[in-house]
Amino acid sequence: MKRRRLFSLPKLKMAVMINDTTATFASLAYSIPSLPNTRVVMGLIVGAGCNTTVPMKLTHLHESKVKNILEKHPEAQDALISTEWTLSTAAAPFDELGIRSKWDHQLDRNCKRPGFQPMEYMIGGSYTGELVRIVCHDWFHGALGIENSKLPVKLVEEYSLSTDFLSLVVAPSISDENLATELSSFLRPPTDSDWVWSPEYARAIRTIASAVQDRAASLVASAVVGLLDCTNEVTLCDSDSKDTNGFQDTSKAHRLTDSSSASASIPGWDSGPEELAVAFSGGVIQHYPHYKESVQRCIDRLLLRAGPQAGGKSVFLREASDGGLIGTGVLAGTASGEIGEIKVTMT
Amino acid sequence: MTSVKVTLEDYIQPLRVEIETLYDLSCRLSEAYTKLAAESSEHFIPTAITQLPTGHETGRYLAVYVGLSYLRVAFIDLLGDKHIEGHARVRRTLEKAWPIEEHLRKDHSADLFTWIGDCIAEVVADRLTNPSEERIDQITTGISFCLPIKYYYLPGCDSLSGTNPHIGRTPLTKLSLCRQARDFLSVQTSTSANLCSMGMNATHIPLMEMMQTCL
Repeated sequence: MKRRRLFSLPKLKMAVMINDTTATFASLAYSIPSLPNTRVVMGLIVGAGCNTTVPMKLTHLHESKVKNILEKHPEAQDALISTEWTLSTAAAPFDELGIRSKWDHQLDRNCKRPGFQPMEYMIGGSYTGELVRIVCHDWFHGALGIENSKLPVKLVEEYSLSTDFLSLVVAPSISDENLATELSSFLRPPTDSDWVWSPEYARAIRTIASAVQDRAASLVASAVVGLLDCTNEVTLCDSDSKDTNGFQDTSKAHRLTDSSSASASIPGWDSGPEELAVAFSGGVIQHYPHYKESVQRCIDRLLLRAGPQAGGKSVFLREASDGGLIGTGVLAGTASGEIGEIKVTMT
Repeated sequence: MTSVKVTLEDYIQPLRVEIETLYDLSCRLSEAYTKLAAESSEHFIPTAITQLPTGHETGRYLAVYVGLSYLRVAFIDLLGDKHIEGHARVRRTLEKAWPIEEHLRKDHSADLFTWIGDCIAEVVADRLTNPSEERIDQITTGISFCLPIKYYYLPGCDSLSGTNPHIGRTPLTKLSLCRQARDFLSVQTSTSANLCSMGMNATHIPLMEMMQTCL
């Protein structure tokens, strides 16, 4: 029971109520003056779930969504958007390209909300442990023919293998022998089972976990690049037909959807290519071994595939640790107006 | 039992996605996102944030983060250009974190928000009891959620047009907190959480009111 001290407490003035990806974006944006040639173009969280925030032109949004904003800020051109990109309405391409496997469909069918967030079921930390369990069980039971009664209960029962466990025990392990020893105590077979964790079985679970998380990282990278193409920050080969009156030709420096052409006039700008920063936070992307490196490597490969970007700009993941908390404080400061006019005009 | 020996690598081949497929996926997702932004009323919902932080803001603000399993509350000091070279531009003080217990997430939504208010009060009280802190009448606060938020205006505050762009002064009562809480939890079943937009409004919440229901 908390002790309550009910004496003369001050009022709270609620300045902002936001999604945590928006806060993550703002957290890095606040520290940007310390990073030369860098502009934040996305806030990304990959933890238990996955979501992003990007700035978009109001003209690219349905008018019903921007009416309130324009009533209050008639001059506004851009706003931060929380995309909720894992929802099913944005998920058709995963099936069009046959990316979802039979194991993904199995997880989807048996989860609490079938069909609701197909992308999250492949990426979110709430699900990847279960996905690894499903594949492991299918390999041990379905392919190798080991009876369920002999396998560790945690490989047989739904949602009993956590992504945290994979992150802390399985992924960092180096030797199959040591991992087998650890698994023998954490994922213990039934007492009457003669099945034991051999180094080969231990290697199998590590290989499967690695395949699931490598795919998750590459899907995150693919969606990041797709979203940056949508906001015209990068150009993919087949996006010639895009609205070229959009972001690229804006000269409104330091707008949310700033362009590289405007960046050259920013004080402290070193001549050189622009770095588009994706601010990231979240347990999986920050702590799962090699995860953020995998996402970055895949982003690089996708941009190479897309061809040279205007001004040689690149996309770089930058950690915004605790961005969900810090960015909330930052935006409270930005939105409160107590610090005077925060609208930036370029000098 | 399989008669032909399959290697694990072959077995998990369906989990491998080639770079060409990923590239194709990027292009298709870009199209899907563009369409959702332009057409959907449920997705790609704008926040009220139309200007970015400049990095020059200064001051002390209260930040509240409602995660899936943890609540965190801290004062955030924005140091702006006063920060020391090589150090962060932001300093966190009086930070506290609490696990959000299962019953708070599932039972009466009012309990959740009451509890959040109680935790906020604890951090604020820590500041007040520090003799070196100056007296404060009002604390500017932000709150973030790891859940979708859809913005709309507080009912009863009919218009934002004219010269008064702020809903301001409308006390966010216990009732509306409860409603928010209910809607907050309805996120579990609905993607369009009808949370009040305080991004668009500066609304004063008497902290005492948030705490009353705890008593």
